[in-house]
Amino acid sequence: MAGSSLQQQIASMRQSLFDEGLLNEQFIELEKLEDASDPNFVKNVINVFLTDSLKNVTGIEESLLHLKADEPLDITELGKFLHRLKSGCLGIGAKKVPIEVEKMLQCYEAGDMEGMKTILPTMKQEYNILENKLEAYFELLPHIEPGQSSDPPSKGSTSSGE
Amino acid sequence: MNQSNCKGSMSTASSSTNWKANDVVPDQFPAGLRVLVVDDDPTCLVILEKMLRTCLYEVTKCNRAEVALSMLRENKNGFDIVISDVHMPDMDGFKLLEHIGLEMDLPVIMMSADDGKQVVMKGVTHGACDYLIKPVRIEALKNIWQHVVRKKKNEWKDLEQSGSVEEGDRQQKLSEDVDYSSSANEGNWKNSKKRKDEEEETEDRDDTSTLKKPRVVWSVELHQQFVAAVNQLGIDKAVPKKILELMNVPGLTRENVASHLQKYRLYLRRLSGVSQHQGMNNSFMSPQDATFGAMSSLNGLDLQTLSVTGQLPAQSLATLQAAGLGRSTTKSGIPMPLVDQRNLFSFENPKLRFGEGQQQQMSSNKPMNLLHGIPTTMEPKQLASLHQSAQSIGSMNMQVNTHGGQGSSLLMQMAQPQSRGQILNESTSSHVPRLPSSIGQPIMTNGIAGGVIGRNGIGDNSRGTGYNQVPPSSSMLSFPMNHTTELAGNSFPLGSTPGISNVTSKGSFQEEGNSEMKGSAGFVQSYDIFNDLQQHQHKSHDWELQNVGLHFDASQNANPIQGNLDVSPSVLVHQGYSSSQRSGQNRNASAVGRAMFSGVECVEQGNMQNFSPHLNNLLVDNSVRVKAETIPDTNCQTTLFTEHFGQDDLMSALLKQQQGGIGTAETDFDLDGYSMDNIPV
Repeated sequence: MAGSSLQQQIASMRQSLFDEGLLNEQFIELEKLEDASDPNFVKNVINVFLTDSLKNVTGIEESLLHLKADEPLDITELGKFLHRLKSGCLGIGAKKVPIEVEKMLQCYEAGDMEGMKTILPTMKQEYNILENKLEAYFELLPHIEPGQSSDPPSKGSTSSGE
Repeated sequence: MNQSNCKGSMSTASSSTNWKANDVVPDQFPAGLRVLVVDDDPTCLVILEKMLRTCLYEVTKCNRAEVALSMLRENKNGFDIVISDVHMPDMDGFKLLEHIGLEMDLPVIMMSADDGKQVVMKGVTHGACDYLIKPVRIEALKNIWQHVVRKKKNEWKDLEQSGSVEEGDRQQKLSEDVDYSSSANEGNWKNSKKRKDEEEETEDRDDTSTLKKPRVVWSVELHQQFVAAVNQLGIDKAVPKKILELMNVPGLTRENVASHLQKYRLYLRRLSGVSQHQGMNNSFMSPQDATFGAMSSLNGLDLQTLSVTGQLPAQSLATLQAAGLGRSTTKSGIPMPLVDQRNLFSFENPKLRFGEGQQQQMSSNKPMNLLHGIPTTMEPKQLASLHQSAQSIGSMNMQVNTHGGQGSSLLMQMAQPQSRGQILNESTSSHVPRLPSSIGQPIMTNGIAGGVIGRNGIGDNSRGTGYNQVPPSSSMLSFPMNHTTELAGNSFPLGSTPGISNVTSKGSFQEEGNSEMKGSAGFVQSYDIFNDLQQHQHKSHDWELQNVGLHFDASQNANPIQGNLDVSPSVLVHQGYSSSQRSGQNRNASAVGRAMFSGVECVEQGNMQNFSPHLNNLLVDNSVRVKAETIPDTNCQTTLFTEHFGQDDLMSALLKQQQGGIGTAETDFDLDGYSMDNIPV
């Protein structure tokens, strides 16, 4: 009951992540890596991703906002943030955010600060959508003690459903 | 397996299952492979770690390149392979790659979300054994052990050569890991001819001292000793044995030196190609830095690097750069330190016959053909003669001309046998004896480059002086950049290499006699091509330039060259000119590049010592050019030109060369000594 409905919730949320074009098959690859010895792998990865990507997005935004018009772009850590964000998104299987980040990276390479500022809102928006969904999904995922069945909400026995 | 985060602590990846140990069961391999993963993105690190663990590898994570390097240094045999991201905040991934290759000689896999051809090529040229695109799949990681095996195999072979088959450590590892029979006889793997060449060339193995050769880590100090020895010996004399003697480091074997020398050459080559980007003002960064700087920008000539290193006067650097880049810079000629160039040359392409040729010219005419590698039609004799004349001309011509690149007819013409020689003679001071036509090609390059430029009326730089002995920079410098301007259009950038004695320009280029025009024309074309190539990202250029730049840097910095001298770039560069001469190796599309490059080279040869800086410039220039041009072996019989390189070609060429395809390259050109003398360290 609770288990199955939680399980259903998880399943449907997961599915919507794909359906809405937020995640691609890379995410499935991550899921495949999860096993009994490391049942929280996916959760862990999502957690790391969310934490780090938020720092990157914030860093990008702040760098751009504080950058003076004539300042060269590479004096900031912009490049670092951009690359990391892109890398993280690709790793987790995000689809839309990396596209925006890539556009920004191209502007960055070309020294086009204005261009980056133009793309920033879109990128942030996409990121926020992804972030919200992933967080919700993350919350639903049960924390499984190693050794226990890694099946999500298994029939009530271990599903803590938190 | 313990996995450690190397965020700030050195975590050794000592594997509990040391599969290297003799008692490890070989068939466990590749399980237990000790992998060091370096990436500043924590998400990727976590994912990669998981994937690698799933492959039963032992994983150590690290999010900073500096820390990773420290870990590797402290635990020299603690890892089998390194996987590193390209973009990292504290150190460029390619720099790390080179460091590792140079110091530890471990296989390194690069990865990045960027799958652009340029960056992938950069990875290859810097010595990466593989390049993965993010997001990385586990399937891609499952087979990374092959790189370890391959490397070991090569090492083992090296050991074999040195006669110390018994080296317990390596051999055992090899045999065990690889499950190859560890009998000493296996040493016939000789996978790289170059190594063999090197060994043969230098001396017969007499490594008495190497019975047991533990892996040598080339520390900064050791490397500096190495560089000093190399410089002291001079390019044409710096053979591993002598370097070893000079260094006088107990426990160091000739093989160690030989392999390090090889890497160093590649490194330098790469530097020369990369240095272009660096601003001229690059302060001489610490060798490593400089190197990196150079590497970062692969664009064409690594003039910057050169300039930084002091070899190339800033002004020249600019000129060269401009030239290289196809821009017209009216700067005065770039002083091309002949010497340096030579060095560069040598480094870059040990296989470059050309280099050798140059050396010969400059130094003592070794009978080597400039075009060693190039299956030139030139008879050796001719070449030799060419060399001689080239000498006077300052090798520049030779090289430059010959390569002319395919497109540039002029150049090519020069390349035509003997035209080169002639050009050489002509261009500069005309006193250059007409080189036998056969030679034309390889040697000419220089002429072309120099000559053409000069000839075109551009101020030709005082080449006259240059080539003969290529008066140190003076002549070179004087080379008015006007060539460049003229060339800028479609003139080949040779102009930029004023240093190159314009010897070639003298009609000799062309066989016809008005080599000048032709030469320039040739160049022009090539230049265009070159530019085009550059612009269109013929990566070949880049790499060639890189190489050039790298080399310069290397020479200059005398820093421990990070190993990844992947020859490819340098090879190409050398190849560039040499190849055109020699054998189509130059895949570099722009014929001009070749010519130019040759020019540079020529310059070097003329006078290596003096012109170090100039040479570098020239070299750089030339190399760039040279590569670009795939001079259809007009004269050079060498297939070089004929091939139009595409990147693939280049790569393959390089790879081939590296593997000794060029064969002599190493020995020929021999960078045995990268004559760093000129390079201000």
